[in-house]
Amino acid sequence: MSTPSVSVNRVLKLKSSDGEIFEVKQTVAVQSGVLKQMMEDGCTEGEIPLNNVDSPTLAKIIEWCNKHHDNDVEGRVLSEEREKEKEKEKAADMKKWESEFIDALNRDEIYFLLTGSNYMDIKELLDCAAQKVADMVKGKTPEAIREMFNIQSDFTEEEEEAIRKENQWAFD
Amino acid sequence: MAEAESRWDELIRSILSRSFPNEVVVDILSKLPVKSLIRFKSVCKPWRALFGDPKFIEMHLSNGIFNKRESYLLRILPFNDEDGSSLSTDSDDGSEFGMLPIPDQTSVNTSLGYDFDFNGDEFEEIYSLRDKKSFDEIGKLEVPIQSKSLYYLMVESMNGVVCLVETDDDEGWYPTVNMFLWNPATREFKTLPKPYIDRFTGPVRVAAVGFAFHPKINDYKDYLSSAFVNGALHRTLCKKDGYFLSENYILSFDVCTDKFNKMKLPFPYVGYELSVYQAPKTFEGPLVLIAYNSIENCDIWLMKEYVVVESWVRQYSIRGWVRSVMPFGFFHMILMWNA
Repeated sequence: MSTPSVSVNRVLKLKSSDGEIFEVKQTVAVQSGVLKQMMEDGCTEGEIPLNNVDSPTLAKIIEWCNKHHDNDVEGRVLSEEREKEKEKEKAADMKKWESEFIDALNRDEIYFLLTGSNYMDIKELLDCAAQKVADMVKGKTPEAIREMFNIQSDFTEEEEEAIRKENQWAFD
Repeated sequence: MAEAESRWDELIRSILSRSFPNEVVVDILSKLPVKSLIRFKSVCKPWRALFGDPKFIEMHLSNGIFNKRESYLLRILPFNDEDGSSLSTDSDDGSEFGMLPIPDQTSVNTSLGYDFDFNGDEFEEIYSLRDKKSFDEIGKLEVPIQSKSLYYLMVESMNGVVCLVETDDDEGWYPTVNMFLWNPATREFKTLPKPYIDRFTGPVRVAAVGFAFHPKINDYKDYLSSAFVNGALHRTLCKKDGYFLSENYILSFDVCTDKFNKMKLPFPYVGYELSVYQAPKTFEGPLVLIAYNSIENCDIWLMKEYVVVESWVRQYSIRGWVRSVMPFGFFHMILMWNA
């Protein structure tokens, strides 16, 4: 798919919910489904308000996108045979970078990153953050999960007990 | 389709988390191991409904089943037999399975080298799955219901669900066959309707009973074949020469042209149990062949290019007493049989 309105040197101005302006290359911004759509529709003049994303989160999101963009660009310079091998190494390096990036965040930051990448439609980042949360919650009790996701149980005590009995091994 | 979509939207709307956007919640949940999902069925009714929805199950499967870090090999353990040198038929304890994680391919390749020599009739062992660095047993599973006959045969595994067969014939070749589906991750166990299988009397005998997943009704159908690759069904067959088994090969059946095709194996493997599978996505090739004999040996091969016999590459060798091995995505599996 070609996007004629995307050029290497042009930048987008993104405005976070707290009013800070971030400049991002168009070639980087295409990782966001929302921004890509806007570019295709030709409506990226001036500041683009991202009302659901605050500045620390937006900084993180842009850091992620820049890193993934640089990685892509580098990969294309290599010859074909070397490329395959190099690609594997790169993928491993990127995995490492991603996990360090995510592990460095605290709970709140991950939460904002999740909602921010969901809002901006950045699939890889969303996947990575969601996996992190999944790893965080997988060992928890249903009670702790309700608290974390802020969910009211609509089971009666008996119903809940029945589920627990039926699947006792999963509660051990 | 439209109906399915609106039901899915309905499900998502019903999640009602006040902390996360609903679609984000679904995303997170689809990345959880099965054990957590089973436990979280009791969080609230919408979650329980979500976990049983075909679309969610599909999400869950695509998130992980061929994801290396949660792919496993399943190995049937010998019957209560300490030294593993013989099969004791007087024990009914044949329903334990060992699980072995598939070692990370790249690390195996680099640490142990990948060239293998063909040494007369013998393959030189380049890497062994006994190597503790690459291959450890990670756990034992028990089939929830003891077989009424001596043991279960494990015939196939797909999307993490294992198809088991028991027969009242010691030889294992049909007369009455009972078939079961077993999902070790959810511990569900289901008895299938009795199949009618004609005794095969020709020069070729059927060496595998396979089963297929029917996505529309989200259930499994048993059928006589194994891997579905390139629009063709594949199974391993053994030609009989009088009383002797003479030649093994893969028979493919193209479902479009209705044509059969014979495909050579990388090694004759006379007297081995053979099975062929669609390769997991992380393997760079379409077909996997597993060959084992119960005494000493199990080889796992990958066909890198479809129908190119020269492209078979041995991926792993297991040395030691092996009864049956098959690739198996363990934690990521179908959650329910959806009554």
